[in-house]
Amino acid sequence: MTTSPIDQVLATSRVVVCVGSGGVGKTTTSALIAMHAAYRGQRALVMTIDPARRLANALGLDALDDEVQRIDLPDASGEMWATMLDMKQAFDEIVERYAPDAKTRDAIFSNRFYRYFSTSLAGAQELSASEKLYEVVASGEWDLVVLDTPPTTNALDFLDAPVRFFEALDSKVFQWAIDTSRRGGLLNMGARFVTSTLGRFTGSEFFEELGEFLGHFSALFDGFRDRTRATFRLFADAGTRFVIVTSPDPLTVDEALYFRRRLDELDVRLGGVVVNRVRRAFAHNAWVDASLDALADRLGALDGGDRIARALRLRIARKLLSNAQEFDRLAARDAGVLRDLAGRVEPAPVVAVPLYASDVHDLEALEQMRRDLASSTA
Amino acid sequence: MIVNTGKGGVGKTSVSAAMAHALASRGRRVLLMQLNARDRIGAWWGTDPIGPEIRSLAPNIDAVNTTPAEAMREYALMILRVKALYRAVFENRLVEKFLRVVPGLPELVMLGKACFHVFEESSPGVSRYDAVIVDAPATGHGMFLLQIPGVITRAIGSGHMADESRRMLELLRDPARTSVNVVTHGEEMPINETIELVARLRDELDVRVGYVIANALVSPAFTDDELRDVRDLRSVARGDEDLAALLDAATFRASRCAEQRAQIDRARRALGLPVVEVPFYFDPTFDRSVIERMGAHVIMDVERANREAP
Repeated sequence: MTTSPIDQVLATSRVVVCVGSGGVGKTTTSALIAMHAAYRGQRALVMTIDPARRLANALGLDALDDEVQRIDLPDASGEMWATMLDMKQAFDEIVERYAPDAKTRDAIFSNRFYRYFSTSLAGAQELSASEKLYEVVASGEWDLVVLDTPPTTNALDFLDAPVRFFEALDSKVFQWAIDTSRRGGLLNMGARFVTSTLGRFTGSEFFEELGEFLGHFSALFDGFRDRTRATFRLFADAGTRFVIVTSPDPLTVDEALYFRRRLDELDVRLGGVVVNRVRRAFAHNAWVDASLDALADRLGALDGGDRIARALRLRIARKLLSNAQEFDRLAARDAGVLRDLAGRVEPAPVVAVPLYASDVHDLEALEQMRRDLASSTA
Repeated sequence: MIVNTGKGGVGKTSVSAAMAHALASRGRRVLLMQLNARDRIGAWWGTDPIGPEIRSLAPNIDAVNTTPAEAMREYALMILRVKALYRAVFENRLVEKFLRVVPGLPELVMLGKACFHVFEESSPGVSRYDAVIVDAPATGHGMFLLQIPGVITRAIGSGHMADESRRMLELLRDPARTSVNVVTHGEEMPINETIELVARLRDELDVRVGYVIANALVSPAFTDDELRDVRDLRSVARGDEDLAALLDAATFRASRCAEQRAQIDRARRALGLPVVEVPFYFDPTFDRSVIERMGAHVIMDVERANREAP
């Protein structure tokens, strides 16, 4: 077995969590890590968040849903499975599990706040995803579970959101709101003043409905708290690796570096950084001093004489040079970003995946990308 | 009100800034508004980061990067009118924390601020801004932001917030005053997401989607005839690696361009919307000068897109 960074991660992990900003190819990278594990002989599951239909298609599926589906990989000695998280359903399941009784559960499900906001409560998506991850890992059915995290504007959200959620649930704030909505009339003058002023903004119904929601929800806190702690233990476990996915865009790389510092603070292991869509150099400065005439002549020689008129050859030569220079400039910029990144995440490896001539549409293209991902040396 | 949303990483902020420049250069007074973003616009203009207070960025362009806390403060002060009262209620530590965890409230107050500036008058009968450009969050969060007034309107009947939400909803749904644009890339995934997002904007929110803005398109550079010659030459260039690399670079570009074209056409057919095409800029640094060229291009291409719209 080769010792590419991705192989090293897979040899030592049971859980891989892919994190990163939106639009960097996180879902595809997650799928490829699971695919590579299958080629290594492991039984791997990738849990995605995005309804990435094209990825499902490329994997030979009509669509992904919350059932696990086997991906047909003809030559793989292991197995690859995929599933998509339905956020709303995952959150419903959390309520289902932690509600102390059916009455509380039904009251939460029928509350307007819950119906409108269950998936947009601060941290709710992240909480659902980690909850599902925990469940799947605990089942012991998989050699490897790869989690593709929710699309976040900020790569930090994934780790911080459950903490925020937890803190919010833990604080006196909710108790205050619940008490306020329940016994508004019994409050002291100061509190009554505060609530009546807030009520001017929100309307009294809003306050009552919210209070009711929070009241019921507080019954779930203990279960949440225990599970959130357990999930954090799983994140910090020796068999868990975080993989940061990024593009070569300097601003996205900044976020990746910021995220890496947060992982350190939380004592979470970084398996590596995957940089997708890295632009390659074509000409490698071979043509820096080339004259258009000389290039047109070489094109002519290649052409076996004068099939293409010289004026046309000159025009093509000019365009060839400026085109290659444009791409080479981008490639040089990306290479600089990569070098800098590698120095700053050491000893974690940086893996560069090139930008391809066309989008990744099918299994063959995914295969190519997997090989690039797995052959890359730090 | 111009709201720009779309998949993460497609350049919503640069497109928003380019639009602001384009409108400002035609004499319109513009407010360029980011919502609790990690500001980059300040760096592009070589100034301090844009903060939650409106400040002048360039002639005719004001910019702001609002935060939920600041938007809430402005909103509360507007209604309470008395700072001491505001402090007593909203700066109460428990209330502050409470407001932070009320779902949807951060979005509501920030969108509320955008709407406020649409209606704002510098003197009676004179609007302060001709256009308020909102650099909205990516797809999921962007959808949530625009849904909030409707949700609040349905969830609560009375009170200031409900009244405000109704006003906001009316503004969002008025095609004469609001245009929601979806920024995208000419690639399959972003175009898929664009098609789904436009459908949701129309069906669930009943807003007018103005344009699909396809950003970072690599221009073709080679004509079809030239490409044919390039491919012919490549087929006989095996022994000459340096030359083969040059020719590969050309077919690489052609391949990316063909992909872009196919994806943009797919979006246009599926959505029946004008698609504004914004080129990729090969400049070594991305700054104000690129934004300004981008703006000049956008304003021209909007006219072309309108003519070509299905």
